[in-house]
Parts: sequence; C-alpha cells; structure tokens
Amino acid sequence: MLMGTAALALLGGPVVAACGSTPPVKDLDALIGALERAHDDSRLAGNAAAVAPPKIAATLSVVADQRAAHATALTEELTRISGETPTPSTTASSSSTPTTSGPPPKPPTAADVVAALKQSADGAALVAAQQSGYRAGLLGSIAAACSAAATVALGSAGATP
Amino acid sequence: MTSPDGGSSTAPSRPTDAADAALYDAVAVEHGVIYGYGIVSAHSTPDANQLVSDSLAGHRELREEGIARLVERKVTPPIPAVGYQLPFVVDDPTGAAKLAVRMEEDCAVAWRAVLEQATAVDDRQLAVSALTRAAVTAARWRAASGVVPTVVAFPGGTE
Repeated sequence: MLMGTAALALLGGPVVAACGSTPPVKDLDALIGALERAHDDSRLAGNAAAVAPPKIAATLSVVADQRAAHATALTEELTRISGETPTPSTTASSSSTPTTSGPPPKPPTAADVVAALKQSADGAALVAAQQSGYRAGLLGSIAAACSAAATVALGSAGATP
Repeated sequence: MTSPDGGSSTAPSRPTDAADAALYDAVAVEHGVIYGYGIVSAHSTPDANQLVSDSLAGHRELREEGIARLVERKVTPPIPAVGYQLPFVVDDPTGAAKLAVRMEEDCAVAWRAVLEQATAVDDRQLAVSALTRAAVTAARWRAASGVVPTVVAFPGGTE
C-alpha cells in the first residue's frame, strides 16, 4: 500500500447521498438554523475584522470566509434536499443601518466572535448527532471548524473572553 | 499519515456493516497515529512536550473508546501493524510538526466517516467529539509551527 494514502483509500467514498428520500421538516429547520448562524458569524467576524488590529483582523477575515463557506455548503445541501434555494431570513439584517434611535452599536470584538463561534460549534455538534449520512458529516466538520477557530485561531490572538 | 508496513496475515478482517467498518477504520488510523506520535515526540523540541503528550493521550483515549464499542457489538478490533511507513522523512522539529498535522487531518477524515456511517446517536456524538479534537489539535500544531491560517473550513471533509 502506498504510504500516505491509506486513510484516503479506505475512506474515499463515505459520501452516500440519500437518494429519493424526502427528509422530514425537522431536518430542514435544523439546517436552516445552522445556515443562519453561519451567515451571522461571517458578518460578525467581518465587522470585527474591520476595526481590529491587523494581526487579529487577518484571522477574523479567515473566520469570516470560512463561515461564509459553511453557509454555501449548507445552502447547497438544503437546495439538494428541498429542491429549492433557501431564502435566508437574515439578509434583511445585513444592512448596518440601526433601526432604533439609540446610540450606534459598538463594533464587535474578537471576543464577541469567539463567543458566537463557541455557540455555533455546540449547536452544530448537537444537530450533527441527530442527522445522518452526509448532513451529519457536514455539520460535524462545521462544528469542528468553529471550535478550532474559537479556541486556537482566535484563542491565541488573545481574544478569549 | 502512517500506513501499515508489511502484511500481517493474522489481522482481523474489516467488518461488512458500514457503521462498524468506519469505526474499525478509525481505530486502525488511531493505532497508526499513536505510533506516529512516537516519531513526533522523538524529533520535537521541549517546547512541544505538552502538545505532544496532550495529543497522544487524546488519541489513546479515542482508540480505547473505539475498541470498546467494537467489542460491545462483537466486532474484533484491528490490531496495531508491526510497523508503519511515514509519508515523508521526519528528522527535525519542522518535520515532526508536519507529520502531526498530517495525522490529525487523517484522523478528521476517519472520524467524519464514522459520523456519516453511524446509525446510533452516541456513536455520532463520539465521532463529532473526535473530529473536533482532531481539528483543534491540527490547529495547535499549525500554530506551533507558524503555519497560517491555523484552521481549515471543513476538517475531515472535501467541501
């Protein structure tokens, strides 16, 4: 056996799509929840990056990109199983215009992003255990990515709250 | 990652059930990783001692948990290979960190497969936990060796 290919060779085909099965609505709700969190975290990290010191800003931008990639993957999966592109209910909040007449909101910090990522990681891990097949795997990878970003990438940037 | 070196004809056979097979594979990967961390340890600087020992302890725990679950369902777990081939020459701390990252990435792939194939919630919980630990440990090794970014978007996945 060639070195370095053992795991990949053994595990090359774990993505088995559940063809023809109509998922219950619970599945869709859980995925839509994960999708909204991915959008929110991406936006939060992007906003925090805009006002953070350069080194942490670079990491926050990576996190923003990765959460956006999670949103894309979840959108693809939702589209695949429901036959239609999900309409994100959070796009309305992407406008930064404050709707109330209070003081302008403070820009988010890296610590805010860490807190959000930890919540997202916990949520995705819970949903992953309830799902099966590819969806479980996707959500597990998302949970793992959020944990690593919160505890290592941003943890070492001094952002631990 | 480390791959088995030489044939061991007495090795248990891989189960046919997909969930059992994925767990069997993950335990086999953990065997190789535990072996590989011996090499990592040998070539790491003292700065990495804590990271080496934390990583190794984590993999031992996962291996034992995986073996226990296989035994529970009457599946003979895989045994460690006589030896393992490394994917590249490791003769300094840089190579050691690179091997550690590579092994954690392979663990992530193996545990994600367990997650996708599992039919029991508690197996999925174990797999998510293992996948997360692999992602976090890989990130720690990247950070320790100055690799940027330290995190990937889909640990264990190909998205």
